[in-house]
Amino acid sequence: MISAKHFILLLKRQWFENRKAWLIGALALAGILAFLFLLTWRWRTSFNGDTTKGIFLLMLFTGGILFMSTILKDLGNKQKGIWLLILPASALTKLVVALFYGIVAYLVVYFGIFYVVKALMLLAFGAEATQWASLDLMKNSFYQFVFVYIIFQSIVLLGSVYFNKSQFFKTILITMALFFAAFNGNELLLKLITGEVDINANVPLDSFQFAYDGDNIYVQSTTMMTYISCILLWFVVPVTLWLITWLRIKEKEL
Amino acid sequence: MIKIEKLSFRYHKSKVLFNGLDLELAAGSIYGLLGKNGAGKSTLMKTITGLLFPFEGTCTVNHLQPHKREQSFLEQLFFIPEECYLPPLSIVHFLNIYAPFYPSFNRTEFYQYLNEFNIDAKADLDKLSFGQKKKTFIAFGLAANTRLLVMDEPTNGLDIPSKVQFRKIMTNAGKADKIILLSTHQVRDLDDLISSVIIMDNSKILLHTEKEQIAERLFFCKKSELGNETILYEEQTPNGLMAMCINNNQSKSYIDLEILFNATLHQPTLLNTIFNKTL
Repeated sequence: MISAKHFILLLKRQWFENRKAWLIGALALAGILAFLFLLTWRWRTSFNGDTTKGIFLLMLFTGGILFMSTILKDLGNKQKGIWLLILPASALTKLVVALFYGIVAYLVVYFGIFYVVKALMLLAFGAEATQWASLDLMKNSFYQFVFVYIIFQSIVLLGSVYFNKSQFFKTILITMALFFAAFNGNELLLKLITGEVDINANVPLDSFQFAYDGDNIYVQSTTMMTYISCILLWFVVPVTLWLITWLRIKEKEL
Repeated sequence: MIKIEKLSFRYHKSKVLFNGLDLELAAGSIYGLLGKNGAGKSTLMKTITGLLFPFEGTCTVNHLQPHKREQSFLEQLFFIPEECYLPPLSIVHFLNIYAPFYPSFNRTEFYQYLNEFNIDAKADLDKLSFGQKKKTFIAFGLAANTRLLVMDEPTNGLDIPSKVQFRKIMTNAGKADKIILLSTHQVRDLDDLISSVIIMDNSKILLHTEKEQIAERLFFCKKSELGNETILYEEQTPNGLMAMCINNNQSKSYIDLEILFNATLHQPTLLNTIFNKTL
């Protein structure tokens, strides 16, 4: 059960115990964003495509997973872990607080920092920069990054609870290995199913491309299949990861 | 009430602790869990507090299973581990954040305990010494007024005046509906405090009895002061050759817990026979 009173108390606890580190982290994030804007503006003619989106995603994911990995890191330390585990609040409330900070709060604060830094940098670059660095979240379904972000944050949270030592590095390594296996395994599977040897690109549960008589043929899965895979990836996977994290907190022994 | 039945715990497949341990602790007493390092005291305490889960058997605290760590259980538990963690906050902030988690928390008592421990109530926790942090944690744990208070080696890290202050504060901490469980391997630190003794060795309970019963049935004194009494155990101490014997004359003596502890490790079956208990 989630208790509203304990949820607020845990929010307060997390904020007051980490606010100094978080404020320093926010300043560092703003500094890195400013540096990246400066860098891409200076060499803007050398870059193809939309660098603003690249900067946005790079720092959203890098900062996000670093931040998320610290939320329940106390469970990896015996003394701090004991204090957190026997703090009178349910495991579910503790998990919801971690999800709130690691997914919702970080996203909101990141948006704020990103747009403020971007506005300030464009102001500094002058009138020539007004058409540069546009970021339309709705264009080409870019908003879908939110779902990928939620999955990544959920994986990192699970890793921070699941492993007792070097949680962050173990999680990153295992995630990379799983992605490698998924993409390569998908290619093998597609070769087996289609009989095509020359599959040169694939996205699991979405599409693949193969070479035929010198042409690249792109195959997109059906609308229904896309719909099902979206539900699976956007909702079922994160909720499953949260469920495992919750069980892991409940079963944690120190 | 704490009720443990047929409890076994295992760290690894090859290392099984307790092996079917039974134990009942009633409210209203201060229990002293005595044992050498590695006797299993901390593991037992962590099982009672829900930090470790039984491999076999059951453990219930006031009819709740600790391993479930339900909010209703946690609200009535305060555990002071040997090395406690306090967050980098001021004492005022610490109190404002954590006290509301405990429904019976008494702020007046907390400040009284801090005062008795000579801790500045406006201090920052990260600027306190290890001993001062521990005293602040103990003050918080006592003021939480939980029905179960578990302290693992509470006097470790405390200087001599602090140990005296601790004993003084603890004397009034016992309540009719409260169980206080203290563990130590320094038995003299707690001998005035505890009302019941549990002696452990090799993850087994060798003796569990009330101090009143010990005073009734056993007599402790220097060997030179004894007459024809049968000596059950004797030991050379800095104060001379001390002896433990059957209290045939119904006279009361100071219970030397260190002698009792060593005697129990030496002859557990005999000691249990005296208290009409079986091992």
